[in-house]
Amino acid sequence: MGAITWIENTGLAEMVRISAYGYPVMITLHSLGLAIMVGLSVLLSLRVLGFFRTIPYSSLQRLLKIAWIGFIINFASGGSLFSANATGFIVDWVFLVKMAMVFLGAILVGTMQGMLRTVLATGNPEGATGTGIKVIAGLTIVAFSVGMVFGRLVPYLPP
Amino acid sequence: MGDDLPSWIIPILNWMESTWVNDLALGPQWSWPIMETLHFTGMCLLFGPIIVMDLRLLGFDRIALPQAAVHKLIPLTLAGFVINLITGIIFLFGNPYRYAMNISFAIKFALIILAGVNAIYFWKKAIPVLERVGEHGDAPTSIKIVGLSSLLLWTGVLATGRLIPYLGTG
Repeated sequence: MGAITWIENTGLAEMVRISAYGYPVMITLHSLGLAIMVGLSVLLSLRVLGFFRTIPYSSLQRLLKIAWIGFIINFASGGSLFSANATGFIVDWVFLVKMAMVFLGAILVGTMQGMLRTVLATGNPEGATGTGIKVIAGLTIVAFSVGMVFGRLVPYLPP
Repeated sequence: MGDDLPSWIIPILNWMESTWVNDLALGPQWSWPIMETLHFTGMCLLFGPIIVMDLRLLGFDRIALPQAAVHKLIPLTLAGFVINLITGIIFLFGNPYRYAMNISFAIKFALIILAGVNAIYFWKKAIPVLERVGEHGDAPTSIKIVGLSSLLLWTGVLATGRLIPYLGTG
Protein backbone atom coordinates (compact mmCIF):
# COMPACT_ATOMS: atom_id res chain seq x y z
CA MET A 1 0.00 0.00 0.00
CA GLY A 2 3.06 2.27 0.28
CA ALA A 3 2.95 3.26 -3.40
CA ILE A 4 -0.80 3.89 -3.27
CA THR A 5 -0.45 6.14 -0.23
CA TRP A 6 2.39 7.97 -2.02
CA ILE A 7 0.13 8.55 -5.07
CA GLU A 8 -2.54 9.98 -2.80
CA ASN A 9 -0.02 12.44 -1.33
CA THR A 10 1.28 13.82 -4.64
CA GLY A 11 0.66 17.43 -5.63
CA LEU A 12 -1.62 16.25 -8.46
CA ALA A 13 -3.84 14.32 -6.02
CA GLU A 14 -4.01 17.34 -3.76
CA MET A 15 -4.91 19.61 -6.68
CA VAL A 16 -7.81 17.32 -7.69
CA ARG A 17 -9.02 17.09 -4.07
CA ILE A 18 -8.72 20.71 -3.06
CA SER A 19 -8.84 23.01 -6.10
CA ALA A 20 -12.33 24.14 -7.10
CA TYR A 21 -11.57 23.29 -10.74
CA GLY A 22 -9.38 20.18 -10.44
CA TYR A 23 -12.09 17.56 -10.06
CA PRO A 24 -14.70 19.08 -12.46
CA VAL A 25 -12.09 19.59 -15.20
CA MET A 26 -10.75 16.04 -14.87
CA ILE A 27 -14.21 14.42 -14.76
CA THR A 28 -15.27 16.42 -17.84
CA LEU A 29 -12.16 15.37 -19.77
CA HIS A 30 -12.89 11.79 -18.65
CA SER A 31 -16.38 11.94 -20.24
CA LEU A 32 -14.98 13.42 -23.45
CA GLY A 33 -12.30 10.72 -23.67
CA LEU A 34 -14.96 8.07 -23.01
CA ALA A 35 -17.18 9.35 -25.82
CA ILE A 36 -14.24 9.38 -28.25
CA MET A 37 -12.70 6.01 -27.32
CA VAL A 38 -15.91 4.01 -26.85
CA GLY A 39 -17.83 5.82 -29.60
CA LEU A 40 -15.22 5.03 -32.25
CA SER A 41 -14.37 1.53 -30.95
CA VAL A 42 -18.05 0.58 -31.11
CA LEU A 43 -18.16 1.77 -34.73
CA LEU A 44 -15.16 -0.42 -35.60
CA SER A 45 -16.77 -3.37 -33.80
CA LEU A 46 -20.09 -2.87 -35.60
CA ARG A 47 -18.24 -2.70 -38.94
CA VAL A 48 -16.48 -6.00 -38.17
CA LEU A 49 -19.88 -7.48 -37.22
CA GLY A 50 -21.21 -6.61 -40.67
CA PHE A 51 -22.79 -3.17 -40.34
CA PHE A 52 -21.81 -0.08 -42.38
CA ARG A 53 -20.04 -2.16 -45.02
CA THR A 54 -19.51 0.86 -47.28
CA ILE A 55 -17.03 2.36 -44.76
CA PRO A 56 -13.59 1.00 -45.73
CA TYR A 57 -11.46 -0.62 -43.00
CA SER A 58 -8.55 1.61 -44.03
CA SER A 59 -10.57 4.71 -43.04
CA LEU A 60 -11.57 3.12 -39.74
CA GLN A 61 -7.94 2.31 -38.97
CA ARG A 62 -7.11 5.99 -39.42
CA LEU A 63 -10.09 7.03 -37.29
CA LEU A 64 -9.03 4.65 -34.53
CA LYS A 65 -5.89 6.77 -34.03
CA ILE A 66 -8.31 9.39 -32.68
CA ALA A 67 -9.86 6.70 -30.45
CA TRP A 68 -6.45 6.13 -28.87
CA ILE A 69 -6.13 9.87 -28.24
CA GLY A 70 -9.40 9.48 -26.31
CA PHE A 71 -7.84 6.59 -24.40
CA ILE A 72 -4.79 8.70 -23.51
CA ILE A 73 -7.06 11.55 -22.33
CA ASN A 74 -8.83 9.05 -20.08
CA PHE A 75 -5.66 7.44 -18.82
CA ALA A 76 -4.39 10.87 -17.75
CA SER A 77 -7.68 12.26 -16.40
CA GLY A 78 -8.60 8.91 -14.81
CA GLY A 79 -5.14 8.70 -13.25
CA SER A 80 -5.60 12.10 -11.63
CA LEU A 81 -9.09 11.23 -10.37
CA PHE A 82 -7.71 7.94 -9.00
CA SER A 83 -4.83 9.73 -7.25
CA ALA A 84 -7.23 11.95 -5.31
CA ASN A 85 -8.61 8.90 -3.47
CA ALA A 86 -6.15 6.13 -4.37
CA THR A 87 -6.38 4.19 -1.09
CA GLY A 88 -10.19 4.17 -1.40
CA PHE A 89 -10.37 3.17 -5.07
CA ILE A 90 -7.78 0.40 -4.83
CA VAL A 91 -10.01 -1.61 -2.47
CA ASP A 92 -13.32 -0.77 -4.22
CA TRP A 93 -14.47 -3.87 -6.15
CA VAL A 94 -16.83 -1.81 -8.35
CA PHE A 95 -13.90 0.37 -9.45
CA LEU A 96 -11.66 -2.67 -9.98
CA VAL A 97 -14.27 -4.38 -12.21
CA LYS A 98 -14.55 -1.15 -14.20
CA MET A 99 -10.78 -0.95 -14.66
CA ALA A 100 -10.51 -4.61 -15.68
CA MET A 101 -13.25 -4.11 -18.30
CA VAL A 102 -11.73 -0.88 -19.65
CA PHE A 103 -8.29 -2.45 -20.09
CA LEU A 104 -9.83 -5.63 -21.56
CA GLY A 105 -11.77 -3.47 -24.04
CA ALA A 106 -8.63 -1.56 -25.00
CA ILE A 107 -6.65 -4.81 -25.49
CA LEU A 108 -9.47 -6.21 -27.65
CA VAL A 109 -9.56 -3.08 -29.83
CA GLY A 110 -5.77 -3.26 -30.23
CA THR A 111 -6.02 -6.95 -31.16
CA MET A 112 -8.77 -6.26 -33.69
CA GLN A 113 -6.67 -3.49 -35.25
CA GLY A 114 -3.64 -5.80 -35.44
CA MET A 115 -5.70 -8.48 -37.21
CA LEU A 116 -7.10 -5.89 -39.63
CA ARG A 117 -3.62 -4.55 -40.34
CA THR A 118 -2.43 -8.05 -41.27
CA VAL A 119 -5.41 -8.61 -43.55
CA LEU A 120 -5.12 -5.18 -45.19
CA ALA A 121 -1.39 -5.82 -45.82
CA THR A 122 -2.33 -8.82 -47.97
CA GLY A 123 -4.21 -6.42 -50.26
CA ASN A 124 -7.61 -7.78 -49.33
CA PRO A 125 -9.72 -4.91 -47.98
CA GLU A 126 -12.62 -7.19 -47.08
CA GLY A 127 -10.75 -10.21 -45.74
CA ALA A 128 -11.43 -9.61 -42.08
CA THR A 129 -14.68 -11.53 -41.87
CA GLY A 130 -13.58 -14.58 -39.88
CA THR A 131 -15.42 -15.75 -36.79
CA GLY A 132 -12.46 -14.95 -34.50
CA ILE A 133 -12.45 -11.23 -35.19
CA LYS A 134 -16.26 -11.08 -34.93
CA VAL A 135 -16.09 -12.64 -31.46
CA ILE A 136 -13.49 -10.03 -30.50
CA ALA A 137 -15.74 -7.26 -31.88
CA GLY A 138 -18.71 -8.53 -29.83
CA LEU A 139 -16.58 -8.84 -26.69
CA THR A 140 -15.28 -5.28 -27.21
CA ILE A 141 -18.83 -3.90 -27.07
CA VAL A 142 -19.61 -6.06 -24.00
CA ALA A 143 -16.39 -5.07 -22.18
CA PHE A 144 -16.84 -1.34 -22.74
CA SER A 145 -20.55 -1.49 -21.85
CA VAL A 146 -19.89 -3.34 -18.59
CA GLY A 147 -16.96 -0.99 -17.88
CA MET A 148 -19.19 2.03 -18.42
CA VAL A 149 -21.99 0.63 -16.21
CA PHE A 150 -19.57 -0.12 -13.36
CA GLY A 151 -17.77 3.20 -13.83
CA ARG A 152 -21.05 5.05 -13.43
CA LEU A 153 -21.97 2.93 -10.42
CA VAL A 154 -18.76 3.65 -8.47
CA PRO A 155 -20.42 6.54 -6.55
CA TYR A 156 -23.58 4.49 -5.89
CA LEU A 157 -22.53 0.96 -4.92
CA PRO A 158 -20.84 0.34 -1.56
CA PRO A 159 -17.12 -0.41 -2.00
CA MET B 1 -36.25 27.34 -3.31
CA GLY B 2 -36.59 29.09 -6.66
CA ASP B 3 -36.57 32.68 -5.37
CA ASP B 4 -34.49 33.89 -8.33
CA LEU B 5 -36.68 32.22 -10.96
CA PRO B 6 -39.31 34.10 -13.02
CA SER B 7 -42.76 33.62 -11.49
CA TRP B 8 -44.33 32.09 -14.63
CA ILE B 9 -42.03 29.09 -14.47
CA ILE B 10 -42.91 28.08 -10.89
CA PRO B 11 -46.27 26.38 -11.74
CA ILE B 12 -44.54 24.47 -14.55
CA LEU B 13 -41.80 23.24 -12.20
CA ASN B 14 -44.39 22.30 -9.57
CA TRP B 15 -46.40 20.42 -12.19
CA MET B 16 -43.27 18.56 -13.31
CA GLU B 17 -42.64 17.51 -9.72
CA SER B 18 -46.22 16.19 -9.40
CA THR B 19 -46.07 13.84 -12.42
CA TRP B 20 -45.41 10.10 -12.56
CA VAL B 21 -42.16 10.84 -14.39
CA ASN B 22 -40.90 12.46 -11.19
CA ASP B 23 -41.89 9.31 -9.26
CA LEU B 24 -40.10 7.18 -11.84
CA ALA B 25 -36.90 9.23 -11.54
CA LEU B 26 -36.82 9.48 -7.75
CA GLY B 27 -38.88 6.51 -6.55
CA PRO B 28 -36.97 3.31 -7.21
CA GLN B 29 -33.48 3.45 -5.67
CA TRP B 30 -31.73 2.45 -8.90
CA SER B 31 -33.65 4.70 -11.34
CA TRP B 32 -31.19 7.60 -11.31
CA PRO B 33 -27.96 5.57 -11.79
CA ILE B 34 -29.62 3.44 -14.51
CA MET B 35 -30.75 6.59 -16.34
CA GLU B 36 -27.25 8.06 -15.99
CA THR B 37 -25.69 4.92 -17.44
CA LEU B 38 -28.15 5.02 -20.36
CA HIS B 39 -27.35 8.73 -20.82
CA PHE B 40 -23.64 7.86 -21.12
CA THR B 41 -24.44 5.04 -23.56
CA GLY B 42 -26.49 7.44 -25.68
CA MET B 43 -23.61 9.91 -25.53
CA CYS B 44 -21.18 7.35 -26.99
CA LEU B 45 -23.65 6.32 -29.74
CA LEU B 46 -24.19 9.97 -30.62
CA PHE B 47 -20.60 11.12 -30.40
CA GLY B 48 -18.75 8.37 -32.32
CA PRO B 49 -20.69 8.89 -35.59
CA ILE B 50 -20.56 12.69 -35.08
CA ILE B 51 -16.74 12.55 -35.05
CA VAL B 52 -16.67 10.44 -38.24
CA MET B 53 -19.28 12.48 -40.14
CA ASP B 54 -17.87 15.86 -39.17
CA LEU B 55 -14.26 14.93 -39.87
CA ARG B 56 -15.30 13.57 -43.27
CA LEU B 57 -17.11 16.83 -43.96
CA LEU B 58 -13.86 18.62 -43.10
CA GLY B 59 -12.09 16.50 -45.72
CA PHE B 60 -10.72 13.60 -43.62
CA ASP B 61 -9.74 10.61 -45.82
CA ARG B 62 -12.05 11.81 -48.60
CA ILE B 63 -10.32 9.83 -51.36
CA ALA B 64 -11.01 6.48 -49.63
CA LEU B 65 -14.14 7.31 -47.67
CA PRO B 66 -17.33 8.06 -49.67
CA GLN B 67 -19.62 10.77 -48.29
CA ALA B 68 -22.64 8.44 -48.57
CA ALA B 69 -20.89 5.79 -46.44
CA VAL B 70 -20.58 8.06 -43.41
CA HIS B 71 -24.18 9.24 -43.82
CA LYS B 72 -25.19 5.61 -43.11
CA LEU B 73 -24.21 6.42 -39.51
CA ILE B 74 -27.00 8.99 -39.11
CA PRO B 75 -29.53 6.45 -37.67
CA LEU B 76 -26.99 5.45 -35.01
CA THR B 77 -26.38 9.04 -33.95
CA LEU B 78 -30.15 9.68 -33.93
CA ALA B 79 -30.65 6.58 -31.74
CA GLY B 80 -28.10 7.99 -29.29
CA PHE B 81 -29.86 11.36 -29.37
CA VAL B 82 -33.29 9.81 -28.70
CA ILE B 83 -31.94 7.76 -25.76
CA ASN B 84 -30.46 10.94 -24.30
CA LEU B 85 -33.54 13.04 -24.99
CA ILE B 86 -35.75 10.54 -23.11
CA THR B 87 -33.36 10.01 -20.18
CA GLY B 88 -32.64 13.76 -20.11
CA ILE B 89 -36.36 14.59 -19.87
CA ILE B 90 -36.68 12.09 -17.00
CA PHE B 91 -33.81 13.87 -15.19
CA LEU B 92 -35.56 17.21 -15.74
CA PHE B 93 -38.84 15.95 -14.28
CA GLY B 94 -36.93 14.30 -11.43
CA ASN B 95 -35.39 17.54 -10.24
CA PRO B 96 -36.91 20.49 -12.15
CA TYR B 97 -35.86 23.24 -9.71
CA ARG B 98 -32.24 22.11 -9.79
CA TYR B 99 -32.01 22.32 -13.58
CA ALA B 100 -34.04 25.53 -13.87
CA MET B 101 -31.49 27.27 -11.64
CA ASN B 102 -28.35 25.69 -13.08
CA ILE B 103 -26.20 27.83 -15.37
CA SER B 104 -24.37 24.84 -16.85
CA PHE B 105 -27.68 23.23 -17.83
CA ALA B 106 -28.88 26.52 -19.38
CA ILE B 107 -25.73 26.66 -21.55
CA LYS B 108 -26.06 22.96 -22.41
CA PHE B 109 -29.68 23.48 -23.48
CA ALA B 110 -28.72 26.49 -25.66
CA LEU B 111 -25.91 24.48 -27.27
CA ILE B 112 -28.30 21.58 -28.06
CA ILE B 113 -30.66 24.04 -29.77
CA LEU B 114 -27.75 25.47 -31.79
CA ALA B 115 -26.54 21.96 -32.66
CA GLY B 116 -30.09 21.12 -33.78
CA VAL B 117 -30.30 24.21 -35.99
CA ASN B 118 -26.85 23.31 -37.37
CA ALA B 119 -28.05 19.76 -38.14
CA ILE B 120 -31.17 21.06 -39.93
CA TYR B 121 -28.99 23.45 -41.93
CA PHE B 122 -26.74 20.50 -42.83
CA TRP B 123 -29.75 18.46 -43.95
CA LYS B 124 -31.41 21.24 -45.98
CA LYS B 125 -28.41 23.15 -47.39
CA ALA B 126 -25.26 21.05 -47.09
CA ILE B 127 -26.50 17.71 -48.47
CA PRO B 128 -27.51 19.20 -51.89
CA VAL B 129 -24.07 20.85 -52.12
CA LEU B 130 -22.35 17.58 -51.20
CA GLU B 131 -24.34 15.80 -53.90
CA ARG B 132 -22.95 18.30 -56.42
CA VAL B 133 -19.31 17.91 -55.33
CA GLY B 134 -19.63 14.10 -55.57
CA GLU B 135 -18.85 11.13 -53.28
CA HIS B 136 -15.17 11.97 -52.90
CA GLY B 137 -15.27 15.69 -53.61
CA ASP B 138 -13.99 18.40 -51.30
CA ALA B 139 -16.75 20.39 -49.62
CA PRO B 140 -16.65 24.20 -49.93
CA THR B 141 -15.53 26.15 -46.85
CA SER B 142 -19.11 27.27 -46.08
CA ILE B 143 -20.08 23.60 -45.66
CA LYS B 144 -16.93 22.68 -43.74
CA ILE B 145 -17.91 25.32 -41.17
CA VAL B 146 -21.10 23.27 -40.56
CA GLY B 147 -18.95 20.23 -39.73
CA LEU B 148 -16.60 22.16 -37.46
CA SER B 149 -19.55 23.83 -35.69
CA SER B 150 -21.19 20.46 -35.09
CA LEU B 151 -18.01 19.02 -33.58
CA LEU B 152 -17.51 22.02 -31.30
CA LEU B 153 -21.19 22.31 -30.31
CA TRP B 154 -21.52 18.63 -29.34
CA THR B 155 -18.24 18.77 -27.41
CA GLY B 156 -19.69 21.78 -25.59
CA VAL B 157 -22.94 19.89 -24.90
CA LEU B 158 -20.95 17.02 -23.41
CA ALA B 159 -18.76 19.28 -21.27
CA THR B 160 -21.55 21.52 -19.93
CA GLY B 161 -23.65 18.41 -19.24
CA ARG B 162 -20.90 16.86 -17.14
CA LEU B 163 -20.34 20.15 -15.32
CA ILE B 164 -23.99 20.48 -14.14
CA PRO B 165 -23.18 19.20 -10.63
CA TYR B 166 -20.24 21.58 -10.27
CA LEU B 167 -21.27 24.89 -11.84
CA GLY B 168 -23.88 27.22 -10.48
CA THR B 169 -26.61 26.49 -7.98
CA GLY B 170 -28.85 23.50 -7.54
